[in-house]
Amino acid sequence: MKNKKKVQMEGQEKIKTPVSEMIRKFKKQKTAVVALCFIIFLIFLAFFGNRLVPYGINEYDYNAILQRPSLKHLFGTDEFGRDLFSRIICGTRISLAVGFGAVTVGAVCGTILGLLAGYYGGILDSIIMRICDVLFAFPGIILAIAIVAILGSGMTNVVIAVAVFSTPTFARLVRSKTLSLKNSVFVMAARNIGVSDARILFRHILPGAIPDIIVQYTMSFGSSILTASSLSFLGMGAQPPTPEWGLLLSNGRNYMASAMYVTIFPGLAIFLTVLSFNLLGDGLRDALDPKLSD
Amino acid sequence: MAADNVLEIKNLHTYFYMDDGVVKAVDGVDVELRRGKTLGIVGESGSGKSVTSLSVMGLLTGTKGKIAEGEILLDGQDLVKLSEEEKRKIRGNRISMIFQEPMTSLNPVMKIGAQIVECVLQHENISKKEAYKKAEEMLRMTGVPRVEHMMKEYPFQLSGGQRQRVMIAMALVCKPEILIADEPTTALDVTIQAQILDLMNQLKKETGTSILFITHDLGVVAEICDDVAVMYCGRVVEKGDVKSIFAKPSHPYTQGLLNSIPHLGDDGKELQSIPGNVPNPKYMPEGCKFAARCPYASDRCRKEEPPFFSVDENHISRCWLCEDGKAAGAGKEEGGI
Amino acid sequence: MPKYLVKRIVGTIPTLIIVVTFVFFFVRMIPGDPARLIAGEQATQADVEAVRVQLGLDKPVPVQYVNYVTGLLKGDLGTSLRTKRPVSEEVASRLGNTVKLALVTLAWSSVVGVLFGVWSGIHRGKWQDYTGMTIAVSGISLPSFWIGFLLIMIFAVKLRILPTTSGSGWKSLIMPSITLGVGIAAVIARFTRSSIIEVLKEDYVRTARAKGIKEKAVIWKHAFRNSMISVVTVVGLQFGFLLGGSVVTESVFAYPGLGSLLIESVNYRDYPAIQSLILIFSLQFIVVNLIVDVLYAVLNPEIKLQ
Repeated sequence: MKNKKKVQMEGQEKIKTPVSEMIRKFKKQKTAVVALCFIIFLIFLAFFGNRLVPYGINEYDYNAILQRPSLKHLFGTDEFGRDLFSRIICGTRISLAVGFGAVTVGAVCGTILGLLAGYYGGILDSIIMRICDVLFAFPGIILAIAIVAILGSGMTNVVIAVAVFSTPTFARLVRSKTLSLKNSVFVMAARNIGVSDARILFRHILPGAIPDIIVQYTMSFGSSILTASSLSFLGMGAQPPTPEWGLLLSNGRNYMASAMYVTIFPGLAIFLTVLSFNLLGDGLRDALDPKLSD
Repeated sequence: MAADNVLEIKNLHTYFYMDDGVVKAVDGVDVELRRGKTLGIVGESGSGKSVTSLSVMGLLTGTKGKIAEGEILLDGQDLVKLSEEEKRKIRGNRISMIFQEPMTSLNPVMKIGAQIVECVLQHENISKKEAYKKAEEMLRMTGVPRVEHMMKEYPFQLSGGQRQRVMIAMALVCKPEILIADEPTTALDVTIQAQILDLMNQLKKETGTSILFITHDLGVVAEICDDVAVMYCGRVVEKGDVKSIFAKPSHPYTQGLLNSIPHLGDDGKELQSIPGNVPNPKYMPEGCKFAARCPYASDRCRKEEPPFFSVDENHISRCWLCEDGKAAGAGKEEGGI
Repeated sequence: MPKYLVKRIVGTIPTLIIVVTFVFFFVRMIPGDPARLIAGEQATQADVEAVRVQLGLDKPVPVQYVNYVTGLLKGDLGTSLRTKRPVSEEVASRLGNTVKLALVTLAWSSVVGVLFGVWSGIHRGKWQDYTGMTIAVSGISLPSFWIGFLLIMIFAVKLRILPTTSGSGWKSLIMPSITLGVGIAAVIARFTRSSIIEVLKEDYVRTARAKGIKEKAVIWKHAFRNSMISVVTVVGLQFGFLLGGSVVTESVFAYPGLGSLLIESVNYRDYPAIQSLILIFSLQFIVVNLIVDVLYAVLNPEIKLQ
């Protein structure tokens, strides 16, 4: 008996909670940590960038149109003499807001639909999943264009469009997770002692799906920024004189031969932002994946 | 060195280099496989028996495992010193292996025939037609029905027992000196198990192949093996010829394993299990690794690891309890550290 | 195999019906009076009524729906408000260009993506893996229109070795195809890598190694063929991404395909055209996924022999 106890003690490792384990593994993903730092920097710019920039976003200077990058204008100026550096910094807020708005709406709607479909099954499940199938039958950006065509151009409608096509991804993800958690012992136990459905869904099942939702959220964030800037580029999103990155880039196409920096810098801004969200998503996924912990 | 040993493993140490430390999966193993005989390596999961076999096969590449020390002599040639390419030429040709999971061990998108032929063509310089014929003959020897038909079938069309026969055909088609069988019957039904064991015994006689049989099941050992090595925590704790081990199990761990097999005629007698679990390889205790689960453990056991002591002719045990009888034979203390 | 095929084809019918229905109601989701919207702010009441009759919007919705579906079955996609000609004509003249661009792009990006993926996967954790995956994650993060502009600036403006506009033969496909394919190649590479890594852990790969098969054959004959079964599905899904991407790419290069037609139609508020184009895009996607299912069956003997 005494021996047995001792064996079990030796067999035990230091206690690791899932969250601390995830943080420990995440810290090992150096690129993801760098990406996270860059995102925090972007969030800072989104909040305070407009107070820090040297010029106003709509500060015209007809004596300095299409200037090459210099110390005075780090990224040069556009055809109205506006400082591109200031405009790009201030554009951070727009892109992050679009990504945040669209993905948050998509994630919340998708999660609720997925929970309901997975937990109750039956007709409700069939209806929700059929709708998702149909939404999946439209290539993402085409669906967004369709929605913008109905609702009209503008950033708000872009947010709605992107939210609509990111919803089914979350719904499918949460549904499959719910299906596997529904029959787990702890959920059965909770149901047997008469815990309400709502409480089971939100206190017992949802927490199990949260890690996957976080990974998908981060990945979707990057691709939403990409889609939103594409729509602005096509003239369906932000309208001039908004310093939206896709719009800035689209504007630069007229000066490609003479002033290529007008297209290079906004593109670089989109690229780095999307890249850091994707790297963060990869890092989180690897930190969560039990299969990778050999 | 006795000339009739086809395989000698000497002081083998295979370590896994993990992010948070080194796991000594095999920590000083010495075993010998006699030509034309079957050696059983017995132990619980985590005892290092499978890692030993993978070390012999040179199949550790791609894992974090590495042979840190020791020799693996195939007819006197040290496999540890060979290059990857030289080891590859030995695999499937002079040493081959069958695995526990016949359901997943065959490539699902290749025809059975192609999978056996591939092995022949890799190691023998013969035409495709001859190779196909050879594969067909070998498959027929394993006793499967309608061989011509099966050669053109895919694994999913076969039962578990049939697949294991295909695996055996594939392993023996190049007439290897050694067949390593890693729990080949564990995943099969009991009746099929007996058939596969019979087949292995029969093919051993026909082809003269020596077998290294890895299992956790002492019942299977009694049926098929000539010699036995019992492993615990990466070490051999007892070894000898099969009769002597069953007649006089001398290590408490071996005794525990034997007591946990049901026998006919002892109804009512409770089956005994060994209390506790295999220690975590990252926190390996000092002294005898079995002490924590051993009913006879003394303070000495917890502090000092016992060397081998001779129990009988060709039977040694790594337990202090065997010390008083006859001390270990001269030169038999090689398993120290 | 035939049974499986029939099952798959029958399986797409409900999706088709729902897609057609969705597209039909699409026009009716426009806030306000669609006829007024289409006729324009300055149109007289009579003009609006004329549009209403022209679109058949004066009839009850079920009748409209039946008319719409019968029209579709006859290949009638309605009349473009912009060109006043049947939408089907415009579509027919541009469909070929889009399909050509899509196929060329899919071909090169699948090959490049798969090769990169296998290369990274078999060298998991080594520098080759990091290089491959850094390129791939950059690929999925690049805005395609930016790639397009950079290509134009380098190859058309600076080096003057490639044409900016279409209509100069296969050369005019190079830049649009690269622009469109980078992201797709990157996604395929990422997926192939993880698939290869999974497959390399399989028991049958260990068996192949235990047989002493050369490592090259272990990878290409055993691991690769098995990983392709799941990679093919992802390639099919990427086709949808490709169709969407073609809208942006065609707009960058003024390439006369369905994507640029969609943008022109949206800018002109040409609703019959938008409606038909959205339908065609999703039909293409459905057809490609059907082809993917067939490929899946060809690669997977368990389904092929059913």
